[in-house]
Amino acid sequence: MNIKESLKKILIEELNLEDLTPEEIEDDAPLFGEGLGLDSLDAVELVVLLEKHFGVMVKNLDEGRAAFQSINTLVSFIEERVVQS
Amino acid sequence: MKRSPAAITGMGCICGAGDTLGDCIDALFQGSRNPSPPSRFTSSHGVSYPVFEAPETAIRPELKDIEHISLTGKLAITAAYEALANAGLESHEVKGKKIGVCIGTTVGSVMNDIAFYAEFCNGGAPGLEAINRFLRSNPAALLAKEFGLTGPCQTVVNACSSSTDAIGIAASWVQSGRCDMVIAGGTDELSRVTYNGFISLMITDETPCKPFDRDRKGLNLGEGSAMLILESEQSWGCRKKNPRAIVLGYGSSSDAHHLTAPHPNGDGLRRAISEALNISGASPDSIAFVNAHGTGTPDNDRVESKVFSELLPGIPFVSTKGFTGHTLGAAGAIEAAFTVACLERSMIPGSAGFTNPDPDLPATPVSIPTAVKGSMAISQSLAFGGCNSVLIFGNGRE
Amino acid sequence: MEVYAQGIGIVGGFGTGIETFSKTLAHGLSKKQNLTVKTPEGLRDMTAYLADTSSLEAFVQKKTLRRMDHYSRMALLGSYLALEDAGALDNDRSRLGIVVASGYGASRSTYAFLDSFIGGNDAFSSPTHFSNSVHNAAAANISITLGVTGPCLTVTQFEMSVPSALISAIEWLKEERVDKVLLGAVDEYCDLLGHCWYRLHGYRDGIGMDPLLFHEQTAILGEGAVFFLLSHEGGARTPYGKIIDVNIQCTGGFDCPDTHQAVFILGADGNKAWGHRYEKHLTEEMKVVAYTPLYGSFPSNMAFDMAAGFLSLRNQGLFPLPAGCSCPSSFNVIREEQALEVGKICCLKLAGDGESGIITIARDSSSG
Repeated sequence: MNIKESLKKILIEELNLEDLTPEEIEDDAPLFGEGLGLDSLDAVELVVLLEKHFGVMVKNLDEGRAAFQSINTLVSFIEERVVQS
Repeated sequence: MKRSPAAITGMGCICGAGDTLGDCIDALFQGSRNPSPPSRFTSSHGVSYPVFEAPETAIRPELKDIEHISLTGKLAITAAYEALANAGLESHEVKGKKIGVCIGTTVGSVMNDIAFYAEFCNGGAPGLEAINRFLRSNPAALLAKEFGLTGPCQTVVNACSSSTDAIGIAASWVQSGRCDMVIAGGTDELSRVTYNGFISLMITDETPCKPFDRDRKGLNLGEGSAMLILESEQSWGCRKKNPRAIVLGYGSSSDAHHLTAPHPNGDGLRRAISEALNISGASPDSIAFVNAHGTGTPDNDRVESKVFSELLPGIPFVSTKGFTGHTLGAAGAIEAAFTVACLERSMIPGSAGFTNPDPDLPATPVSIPTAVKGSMAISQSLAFGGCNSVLIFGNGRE
Repeated sequence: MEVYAQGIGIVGGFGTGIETFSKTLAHGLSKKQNLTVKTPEGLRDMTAYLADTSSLEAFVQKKTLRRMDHYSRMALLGSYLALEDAGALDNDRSRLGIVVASGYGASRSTYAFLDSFIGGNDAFSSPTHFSNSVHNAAAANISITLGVTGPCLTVTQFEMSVPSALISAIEWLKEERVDKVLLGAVDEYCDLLGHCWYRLHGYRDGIGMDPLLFHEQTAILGEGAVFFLLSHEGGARTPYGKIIDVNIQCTGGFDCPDTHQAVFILGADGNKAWGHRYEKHLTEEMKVVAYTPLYGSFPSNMAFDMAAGFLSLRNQGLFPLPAGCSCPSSFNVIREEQALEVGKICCLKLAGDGESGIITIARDSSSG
C-alpha cells in the first residue's frame, strides 16, 4: 500500500469517517472546513497520527497548516520528511 | 426566601506559589515563580514541559502516610483546615453541623491510575488499593466526612471552570437558605494523564508560560487547592466574625461551539460577565480589576482580551497562572482566593510571564504590581466544552 | 417554588424511550447482554444491562456524531428524548440549563486515552480521546449539538450524584437563572469496571438481581442515561408531577420522611455492602419496592428510580416488584400492580460510609 492509500485508510479509521471509502476522498479536496469538514481537534489528532504511522513530526500547527490542505499536500509533506530521515 | 449574598469569612490555599494563601500572595507581589520539570512522573516526550508542583511538605502531617486518600484529597483537606482556621473556626465547632461542601475538580473524579490499568491490560491482577483510593477520594464527600458535616455535598466536574462554578453554586445555597455555611473550593493534582492530554492538544509551552504575551505558546499545568468559607450574614453576625469579601454575583454561560476551542468572539464569556454584573448590580466601570483565566494559549488569551476591550475597557487585569500554572479544577478557587486577597489590599500583582504586548490583542494585562480603585473585582474561568463562569466579589468592609 | 417534570428521555438495557420503560416496569422484565471480562484467570463470560444508542440517528446526522463516544451519545439521546416527550424540540434554548450527574464519567474514553500511550510513546496520546474523557464532555456535547447557551454543570458524587445534581438544578430554577433545566444522569459500562466487579464480587451464572435480599450480593452492572426536562411551570404540560424535596447527606445522618403518606422506591441494587443499611431503616409500615433489576447497578441509577416514580404518578398506579425478585415477608412490598393511594413517592438511595439521598415527588394537582 502506498503512502496515499495508507493515509486515506488511517484518516477514515482513526477520525471515524465511517461513511466514507478511500475512493471517495478526493486527492485535492480541502481536508479542513469545506470538503472533508475536519476541524482543529482533528488537526491535532492528525499530528499524532503522522508521528505514529509515518514517524513524521509536526512541530507546531503553523508548520502543519500548509501541509494539511489536502491529501496531496499531506503526502508530499510525509514523503519529504521520510526521505530526510 | 432570598437572603443577602454569601460572605467569605475564611480562605486557605496550597499550590505551586506557596504553602499557604499568605505565602502565595507574597510570591505574587514579589513576582517570583517556580516552574520546573515534573518530578513525580516521567514521560517519553522529547522535551520536558514545565509544571508548577504543590509543596508536598506543606500537606498536613497526619495525612502524609495515608495510602487511601489521593494527593488531590490531601491538598483539599490541607487547604480546608487553613480556611476554617482563617474563619476563626475549629474543627470541633463544625462537626455535626448542617454545613455544605461544594468542590471543583477534574483529576479528582477519575479512576486513571496508570499502573493499575497497565497491569489489567496485561491480564494481571493489580492490587485494588488504587480502586479503594479512588472510591474514598471524591473531594466533596471526603471533606464532608473529614469534618463530619451534614449539609448538601457536591463535587463539580466542569473542567477548567469547576471551582468557579463550585463557589457560585455554594453562594446560591447560602443565599437561598439551604444552609448557613459552605466549604467551597477546588482541588487537583498533577498527573501524567493530564500532562499527556494537554501536550497532545498542542496547547502547552515548553518554557514557563506567558499569558497574553506576544510570544505565548501555551499553558503550563499546575496543581493545588484553595478553599473558601462561605457564610450567611446571620451566621457570621452571630459569631461576630467580619467577612473578608462578599460574593456579589455569579454568571455562567455556554459557548455551544466546540469541545476544546473557545467561541472566537467570546459570546459565552460576554453573556456570563453581563449576567454577573447584572446580578451584582454593578456597572463595568465599578470593577476594580479582573483576574483573567489567562492560560497563555493563543486562543484563550485572544478571546479574553477581545472581550475585555469591549465589555470592560480600561479595567486592569492580571493572569496569575504565570505563578501557579493551570491547576484545572482548582484554578477557579485559587484565583478567587487571590482576587479577594488583592481586593483587600487594593493592589494586583504583575502578570508573570507577560513581557511583550501582542499587537493583535486589544487589551493587555498589568506587568508590574499596580494599585487599583474600587470595591468589586471579577474572577473568571473558561472551560473545555465551552463553559464560561464569572464571579464578582465585593469588599467585605462595605 | 415547585419544580415540575415536563418530559422524560431514557435509554438503558431494557431499550429506548419512556413508553418502553413504562412497559418494562409493567411486565417486570428487562434484557441483559452477554459480554466477556478480562480476569486474572483469562476471559470470563458475564452479563450486563447495556444501552443501544442507534436511535440517536433519528435526531442527529451521523457525521455530527463522528467523534462522540458512547457516554456522550447516551446523554445526548436522553436529552433529545426528554425534549421530544415534553413537546419542546422546537423551543428556544437560550434560557435552558444542563445539569448532568455521573458516577464514573466517560470511562471508556478515559481508558481509550490511556491505551493511546501506555506501553508505547507518550507522544502518541490521542487528543480526541482526552477531550472526550473529561466528565463534562456529555454536557458539552449536548450544549453544542442542541445549541444550548445557558449554564452547564456536571456533578460526580458516586451514588449521591443524582440528588446532588438535582439540588443545583432546583437552585437555578429558583434563582431564575434559567427557565428550564435538562437534568440528566449517565453512566457507562467499561471493561475495567467489569474486571473490578469480577474481582470484588465474582459472578454467578443464572443469578438475577434480587435487591430486597439485603444480605446477598446479586448486583449486575448496567449503564444508561435518563434526562428530565424540569421547569417551574406546572399545569397541563406536567403529566409526571413535581419534585417537592431533595436531601443528601454524606456522613451517616438520615432523616427519613413521613412513612405514612409515601411509597418508597428503594435504590437497593443487590450490593450487599449497603443492603444492611436499607434493612436497618425500613419499618413494617413503609410500602416499598425496587426496580433496579430492570436497569442494573451503576452509581447514577437513582435517576431511573425517579423516572419510575414519575410514571407511577402519571398513571396513578404502582408498578410491581420485577419478576423473579424475592419478597421478604418482614417488609410491606408492592408485589402487584396497584392503585397509588398516597400522595407522594420517595426515592431512597443508601450507599457506603453513611451516604443517603432522598428525592420526594408528588402529583401536580393542577395538571388534570
